[in-house]
Amino acid sequence: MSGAKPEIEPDLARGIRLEWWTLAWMSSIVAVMVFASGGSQAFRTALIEDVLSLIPAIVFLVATRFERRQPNPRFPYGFHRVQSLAFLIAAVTLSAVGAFLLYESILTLVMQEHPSLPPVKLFGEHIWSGWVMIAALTYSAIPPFILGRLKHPVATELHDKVLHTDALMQKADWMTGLAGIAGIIGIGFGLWWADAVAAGFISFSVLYDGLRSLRIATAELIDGAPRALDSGEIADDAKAVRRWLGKQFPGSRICMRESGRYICAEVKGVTPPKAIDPKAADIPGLDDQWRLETISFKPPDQPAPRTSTGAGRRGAE
Amino acid sequence: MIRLAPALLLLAACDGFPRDAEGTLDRIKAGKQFTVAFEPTGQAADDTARALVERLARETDATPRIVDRSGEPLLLEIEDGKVDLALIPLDEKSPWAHRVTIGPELSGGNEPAHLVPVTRNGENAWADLVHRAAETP
Repeated sequence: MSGAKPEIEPDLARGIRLEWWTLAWMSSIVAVMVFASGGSQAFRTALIEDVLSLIPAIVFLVATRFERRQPNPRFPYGFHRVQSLAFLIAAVTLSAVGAFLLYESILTLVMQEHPSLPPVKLFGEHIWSGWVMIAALTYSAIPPFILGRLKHPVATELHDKVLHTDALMQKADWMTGLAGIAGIIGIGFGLWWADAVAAGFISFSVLYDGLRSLRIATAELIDGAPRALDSGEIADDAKAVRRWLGKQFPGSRICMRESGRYICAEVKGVTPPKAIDPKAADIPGLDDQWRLETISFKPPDQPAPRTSTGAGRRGAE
Repeated sequence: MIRLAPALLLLAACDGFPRDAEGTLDRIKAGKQFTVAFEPTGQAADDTARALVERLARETDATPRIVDRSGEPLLLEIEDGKVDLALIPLDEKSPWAHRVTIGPELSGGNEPAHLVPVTRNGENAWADLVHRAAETP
């Protein structure tokens, strides 16, 4: 395994560009939100969420940098699996955002906190601080909405779960922004609970996405079979590889795992063929041939060699 | 988002926006009375506080009822909505800052009066009126 495959370089470059745009836009959003910071719970939650949403973009950029490195004696298998680690970090972050949203909403409702949004003086005029916050939240919702939509197809092309989780994080961002706006309008109408209820509804969707990603990331790290990008089901292309290998090597046991964005297959219980090139193999159902990184073989178990120290052997058994 | 914009503009045009969660301003206007607690800190400060209360009385067409409260019991009554307004020295870093709404510091002429208007949390229409009145020279 070495570096990123040339087939995916254009999409990878696009993904990297999108993540740099994400960092730039989200940093500007955090600055605007800090400026407009107010007493609304949903607003504070949206601000914290915007700060946390930088994490998947950062880990994607770090992971792709590592992924391109060549194997070395200290890391003989290369760095493809950095993507799996990055995916876990992104999934934990998304879950944390969802859990935090839910916790804050419940706490606000239980404590019956009545948010106060006093007027602020802006350019010599008194205006309700809710309007300033609504303007900031509107700004905070637009870039994530666009960036999330741009990232999704790139994540699908690259089979990149970090980028996919980041697209989900962007969805969480704009939904939280809209929930915050609804909450502040609710406060404006004297509905102190509107804020928390709006954030609470959004939290379920974010938490669901986060926990699902966490489940897939955990499966990947413990060498589970390759999972689909957006569900815990086994990926269609992994099923295709299994079918093809099963036909090529009847009676064998096929094990597969995911190393970052790549599939590593192992055929157990057969004598390895003299030569097999996964890249040359035309596997029906495997649209992106680059996904199949390795096919390794484990020959049938040999009978255990007899030893002269029989008592010790039995003891070991 | 685009569909939301006209609705927001309509809201901005609403006269009674923002509203109070517990209807303090409506109650004051309907009952023609509001309760105020002072904490005397000096002649200049007292004059500033009195001017603010008179301004609020004019704005709401209500009569102020002065109550003799101070310290933590006063803040508890503000929190419960039993007192509508307190004019007291209270720091923004006080532990009470999250439990009540603290307005801008009043200035008596050229000097700060070291008094702030304190209202109940969530009463955004009433706080809006008090804050604007406090900052009106």
